[in-house]
Amino acid sequence: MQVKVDERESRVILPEVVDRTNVNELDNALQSLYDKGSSTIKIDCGNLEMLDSAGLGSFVLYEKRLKERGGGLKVINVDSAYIKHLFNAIELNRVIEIE
Amino acid sequence: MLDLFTKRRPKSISLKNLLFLPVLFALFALALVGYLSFRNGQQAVNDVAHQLRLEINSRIEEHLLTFLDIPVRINQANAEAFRRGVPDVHDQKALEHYFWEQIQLFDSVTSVNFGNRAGGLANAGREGVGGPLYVIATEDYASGAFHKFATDSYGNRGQLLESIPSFDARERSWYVDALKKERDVWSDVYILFTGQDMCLTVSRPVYDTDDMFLGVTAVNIFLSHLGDFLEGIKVGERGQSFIMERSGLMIASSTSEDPISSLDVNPQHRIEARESAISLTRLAAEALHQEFGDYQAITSSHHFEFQENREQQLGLVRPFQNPYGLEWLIVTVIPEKDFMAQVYRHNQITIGLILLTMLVFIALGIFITRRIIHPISELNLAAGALARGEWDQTIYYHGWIEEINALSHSFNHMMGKLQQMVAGLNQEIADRKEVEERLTESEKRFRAISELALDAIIMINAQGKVVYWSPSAERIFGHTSGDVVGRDVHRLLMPEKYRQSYERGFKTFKETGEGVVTNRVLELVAKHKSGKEIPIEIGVSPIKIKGEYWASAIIRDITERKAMEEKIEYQYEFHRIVATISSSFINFSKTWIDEAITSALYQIAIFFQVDRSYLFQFSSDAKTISMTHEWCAEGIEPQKERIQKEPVENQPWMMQEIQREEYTVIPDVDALDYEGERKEFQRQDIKSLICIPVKKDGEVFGFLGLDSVKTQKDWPAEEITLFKIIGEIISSIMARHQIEDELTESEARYRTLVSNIPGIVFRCDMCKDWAMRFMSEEIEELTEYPSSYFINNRVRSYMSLIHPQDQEEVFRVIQESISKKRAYTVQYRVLSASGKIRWVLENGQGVFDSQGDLEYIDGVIMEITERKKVEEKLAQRTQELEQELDKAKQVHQQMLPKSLPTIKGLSTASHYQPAKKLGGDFYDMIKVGHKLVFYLSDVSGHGLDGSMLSVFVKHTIKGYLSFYGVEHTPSSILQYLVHQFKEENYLDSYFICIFVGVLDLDTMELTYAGLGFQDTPFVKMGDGREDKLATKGLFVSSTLPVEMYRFQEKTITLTPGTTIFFNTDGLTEQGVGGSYYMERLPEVFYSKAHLSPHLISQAVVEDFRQFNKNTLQGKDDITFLVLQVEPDEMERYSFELASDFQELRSMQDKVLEHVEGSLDLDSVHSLRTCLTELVVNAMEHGNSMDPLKKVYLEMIMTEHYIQVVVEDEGDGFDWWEKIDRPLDLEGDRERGRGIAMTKLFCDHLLYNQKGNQATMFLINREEEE
Repeated sequence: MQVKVDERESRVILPEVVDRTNVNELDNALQSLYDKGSSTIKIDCGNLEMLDSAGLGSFVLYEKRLKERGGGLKVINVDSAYIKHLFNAIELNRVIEIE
Repeated sequence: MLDLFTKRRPKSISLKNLLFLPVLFALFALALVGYLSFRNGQQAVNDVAHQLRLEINSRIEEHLLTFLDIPVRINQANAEAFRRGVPDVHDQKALEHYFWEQIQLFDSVTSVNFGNRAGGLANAGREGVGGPLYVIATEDYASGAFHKFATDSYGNRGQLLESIPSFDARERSWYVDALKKERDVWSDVYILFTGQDMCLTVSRPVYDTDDMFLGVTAVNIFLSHLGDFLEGIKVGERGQSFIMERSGLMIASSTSEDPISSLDVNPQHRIEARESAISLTRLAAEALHQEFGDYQAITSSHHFEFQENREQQLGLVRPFQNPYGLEWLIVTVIPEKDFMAQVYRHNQITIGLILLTMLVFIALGIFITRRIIHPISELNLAAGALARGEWDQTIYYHGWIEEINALSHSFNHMMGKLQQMVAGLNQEIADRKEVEERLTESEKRFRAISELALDAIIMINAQGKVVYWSPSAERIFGHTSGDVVGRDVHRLLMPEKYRQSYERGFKTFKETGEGVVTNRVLELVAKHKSGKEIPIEIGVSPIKIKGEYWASAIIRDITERKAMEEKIEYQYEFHRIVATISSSFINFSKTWIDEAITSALYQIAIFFQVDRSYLFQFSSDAKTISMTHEWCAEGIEPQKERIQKEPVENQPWMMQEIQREEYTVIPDVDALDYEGERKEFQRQDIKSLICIPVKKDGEVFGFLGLDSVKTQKDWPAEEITLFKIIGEIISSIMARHQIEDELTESEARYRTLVSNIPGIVFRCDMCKDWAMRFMSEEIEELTEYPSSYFINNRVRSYMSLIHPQDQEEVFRVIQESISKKRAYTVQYRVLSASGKIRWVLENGQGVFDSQGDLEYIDGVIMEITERKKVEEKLAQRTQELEQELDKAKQVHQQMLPKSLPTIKGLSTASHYQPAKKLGGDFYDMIKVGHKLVFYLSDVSGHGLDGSMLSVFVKHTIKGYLSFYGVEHTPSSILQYLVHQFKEENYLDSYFICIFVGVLDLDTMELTYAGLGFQDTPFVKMGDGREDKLATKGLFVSSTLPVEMYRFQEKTITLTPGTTIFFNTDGLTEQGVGGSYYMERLPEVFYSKAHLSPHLISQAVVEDFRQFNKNTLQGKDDITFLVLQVEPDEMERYSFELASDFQELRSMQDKVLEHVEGSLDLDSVHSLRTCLTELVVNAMEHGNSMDPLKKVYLEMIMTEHYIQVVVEDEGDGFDWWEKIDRPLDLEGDRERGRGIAMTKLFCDHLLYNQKGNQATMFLINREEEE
């Protein structure tokens, strides 16, 4: 249940659950890549099965920051039906690129 | 058609064969074409061969003519030359040379010679064709030795080649024949003595100019020259020609065969054509010989054919003759094959091609046929199988033939339909069988039942004749079955007065099988055998028999029930009258009291079925009596006008009775002993009557009476009692109103006074600046100006006195009324001379001339300043009252239970929405020991008094419960309530409707009762059964005597999962556009009753809002309670968390542990998301992460839903503003997305008013569907 960072690909790999209890890990991961100057950060949701509004808040915040650099987040590997349903329901693709 | 078709059906052929027919035809055509082309080819070739043979024979003939002509010409030339002596025939040597030169000139000539009369010979010739030349001479030019010499190139004698010792020319046949015949003579064909060739000689006698015979000259020709010629003619590839004599001996042949036998054969002889070694020659000769028998018979050219080695040979024989008697036959033979070879080859190719085409045709035919036939035969098989009853046929064909695809698709489709149909048919057959079986059985049972049944069972046919009459029918109607079968049922049973309508109805029934009596239960009157009418209950059902409608009826004698019903109805009616009378007195204001009493009299008269009802009142000095109120039935003469201030002495006994007795009954007026009264009653045509006194404070001030004019009437004790009750009610009301009347009497007097004061009358000319034509002098009181000032606006206009703020309105009202030619009323202020402002009311109307033009306005002005002041005061008071009401509203709401008690195994929810003004709904739920007492009440009046009444209900019940402990029942509570209400002596206009339930929490037995509670609570039992909790009883009112109350208790045992919905009439009687919410409520409740009470409440509220034009505000208070016994399978988990995210994590794990296995993954995620959001919100926003504050979580799981309640210890929040916010994805971390996320994944999210408790639901959709 750890958020992992792939610096080479500028990618954050999410664990199964991202919610208020571990959202700071996600924040740290995104921040570290942000500090290294990445303008596009991939969020790998291959393992992700559950995401709460805190996690979503983190997405939205970093999307905003990266956009100011001319980049943005890129959500990849959305696999879980539930997460797909969530992203569809809130129309996340209007704001963040989802591969 | 079908018959014709089957009869004439031709012998059928299979489709396969049919499809093959065109192929066969094509093959036949091909073969025919091939054959014809072959035949034509052959014919053409034969023609060519024919021509060729003719050509060849002609050429041969020509050659022969030339060939045979040359020696004749040589002989002629020589004979002529010898005759002239050049050369001299006597000079052997010259002659020899002459011949030698001639030989060189004529190739085809073998030798030329001359034999003189001495038998000598001069000769020159050549050795065979193209051979060396030679000369022959006899010694001394006379018979004797004969020498043959080779010659040199000059013709000089060379080497002696041969010598013959004796030769005499004169002995040679050529010499002899020529001498004898003295002309050209042809020898027979002969073989040279050298044997090397055959030869033919032409000889001619030679004469000198004196015609002296000199000798004979002759020319010999070798026939091998002919052979060479024939050989040179190309007769096809293998054809040949030969020439033979008519004797059959060969002359020459184009083959290499010699026409003479070889030198070895001795003697050498000529060969016959029929013996030729060349088979073709031989066979041709043979064929000719066979055909003609003798060669002599051949007289003209003749074509013939024969076979050699099975090959057809074409021959032509042509006779040849020359003028000197040579008769030969030229034969040409050509093997047909030489010409036909190419044709054959072509034919072979053609045949090959045809065969190949045929093969292709056949293959194609087979292929296509199979392609078509296969699916069709499959279809055929399937259809055959279908015919045998194998229904599961399906064709799995999908090929490239569109039609067949469509066909198989159609077949499958048809199959599906057929299967369905067959299944249906099978079912129907099975059903029918079963029905038949059952029919037999039911027939038996029908007999048994109908014979035992208490109800009459009658069946009639389409003509209305009885066909079956059960024993009970005999019992009920008195007719026996034997009497009635075959008789018209309507004549038999229907009373005369109804018969026509029955018969009309029956006519419709006969045609349609439907009528007023069919398919429902009706109550009618029937005729007994004795003629007595009996009430019956009848159900008629049509039976269609042979296209006609018969009818069967089940008839029950309801005489007893009717009587019972009437009794109940009577009692009910009485209750109703009591209630109506009470409420009419409550609701009508004091000024309407007379009407209220008359209305009550009407009700009473109808109820007791009398012709007149009335109220008498004594005068205040009790000396006279007057009829103050009266109601008469139609046709009854009113007495009220007549009986006024009647001296009491006129009816002393009656007056005494009334003062002394509780009631006076005179069943028969004519039998009355007291004359004064009897005469009076008889005068009014009264047959019977009853009177009861009305009292105030124990003193009789009048009496109520009922007269029966038309018939005599017995007054049963029961009716008397009832009438007495009514008397008491009216007494008490009258008593009260008398007091009030006295109070208002002064006011009335005042009003009369006012009404006598006349207003200020005026006539105004609107067209002339509103100048007054006339005005009462009283205007001076109002304006402090004399009226003369205003006439013709002499000093000032009246209009100028109208308050500037009102002028516009006054003008508008008057203009409008004039344009519409209507009267007007307008209120305005007038300024007096001293500056006082006075309110006036002006009534006016236009006066129009005959053309309809306005002439004047006539009107009256009245001062209403005082009234205005009162009105203003009233408005102020109203405002104050409204403020009071608002306070009362708050008080009322505070009085309602904040939360319903938490009871294990029970869930509850409630809803209360007060009316705009304050409503009178109230509810409470109190747990006392092992019992739960709850009630729902609705009091009259909406306002402070209503609220006060609710306070009364609450405290009375609460007081009762705390005082009387646990032994209470709904009826004891209600009894106490009624008693207390009486004690408190509330106004007549107050009353209470209430439902009380007592639930035993151990046995789950619910006992309930209600007073005046109109709305029957809905119940859905745990097993899904639907029920209602009906109650009956009069409302709580001080106008009703305590004895009248009946407290009917009922009991129901609530099984797990049972849900009850209690509401007051505000909800159900809310109407929008002619429909009432009552029409929708049951469906909403019953469809949601399996969900939690919160959800049910939410559903009803939402549905009501939709129905009620999107508002929850009702005309009356909207109040309901939901009570649910928790279902058995319900699981309940509680958690308590400190405000710490670590706790959240462990709570999540625990919750997920509970739900694992019973929820699908999506629901688990949804639940987890919602839980996380709600708990995080509770920790962060509710408890501000204060670790000392807790979050309480309760989760309930049933098979239908999951309910989670999350409560924090914070101050709540303004959830109503946030709950409908959409999820915001704009860039900020905190945007209150938690609520939006929760709403996204749960089915319902509710907050308590404060906002520190959230309840979310997940509904099992599968279950829902």
